[in-house]
Amino acid sequence: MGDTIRVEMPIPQDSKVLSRCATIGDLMSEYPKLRFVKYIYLDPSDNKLKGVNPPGITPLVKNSYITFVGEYGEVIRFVTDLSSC
Amino acid sequence: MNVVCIFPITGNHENIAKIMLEFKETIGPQLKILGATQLEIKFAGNEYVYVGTNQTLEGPPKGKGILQCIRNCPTPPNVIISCDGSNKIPYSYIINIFQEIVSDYNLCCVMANRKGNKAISEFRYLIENFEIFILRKYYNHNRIIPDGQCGLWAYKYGKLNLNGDKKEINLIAEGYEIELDLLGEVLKNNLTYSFVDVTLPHAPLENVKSLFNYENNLKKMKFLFTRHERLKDLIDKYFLEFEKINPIKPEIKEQWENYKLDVKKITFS
Repeated sequence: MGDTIRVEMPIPQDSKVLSRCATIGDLMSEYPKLRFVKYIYLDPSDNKLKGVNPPGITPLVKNSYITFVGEYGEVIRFVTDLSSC
Repeated sequence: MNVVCIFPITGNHENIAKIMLEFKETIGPQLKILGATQLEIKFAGNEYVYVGTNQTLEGPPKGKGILQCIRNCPTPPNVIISCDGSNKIPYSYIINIFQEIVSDYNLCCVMANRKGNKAISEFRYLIENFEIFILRKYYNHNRIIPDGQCGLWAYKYGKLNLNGDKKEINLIAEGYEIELDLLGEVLKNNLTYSFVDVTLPHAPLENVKSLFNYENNLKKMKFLFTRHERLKDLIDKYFLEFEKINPIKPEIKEQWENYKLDVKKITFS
């Protein structure tokens, strides 16, 4: 296990991150130590569900689901940020 | 040992950070000491779409969310632990549950036994007792089952080699009946199980956040009828036997009678 943990979690529709970051790429810049593994979201451009693995610079939208890996400290910082409204 | 911890958090996403913090400080290190070499955390439920199979944006119900998490594991887990993320059950009990399940090779499932405060209404508790009672009767199980519907449990995933006998716990329940599904699988396959006592902090019921409603009781029973095919034919007999050993309190008698009527009206479309 080490100090690394893999976490899967939803991005709540009222997450404050949504107003700050437009894409997963923005999140990646803020959390460079995290490895973003998977992202499932409803693409607002065509209203279709899409899964991206790895996420890249896909748009960050509400009601999506994200998987990431990292050290506990960074993971907790990210989780707190993501789940706060 | 690959251990996956699932936290159903429908309607409770504000608890995610608290759970992660506790996981880092106490639960994770203890699980590691007890033999968890690989740990993964999954938060099931809430308003998201998990797999691209449909267009709904509503979160999956409890059981479905848990099953999706299990199916989505990159490597098959050895032990799956599920703990409601509603803050009702102290998360540190995850350590006790894991310690118990790894303590004996023959143990396939460990469930929490809520001591004292069950954090549910008296009527709901009566129904939970009845549901466990009928499973015990149906499978001629003589041991007392003290609980079986607490939102904290663990089981060994995949094919289990039990003295050369290959068995597997296969969950399919999509809603609140997931715990009953687990108990039913354990009893049907005659698997070894145990309970760990948990004490829930006292909180007024009106302050407990739950999406559970009366209709969910009927959904649970319908699921049991579907999963255990002769059960519906025996339900009248089981009601009588249950009432003989569990006198119904006057204050919930009317609710109980209505419940019995509704159960008997359950149909399959």
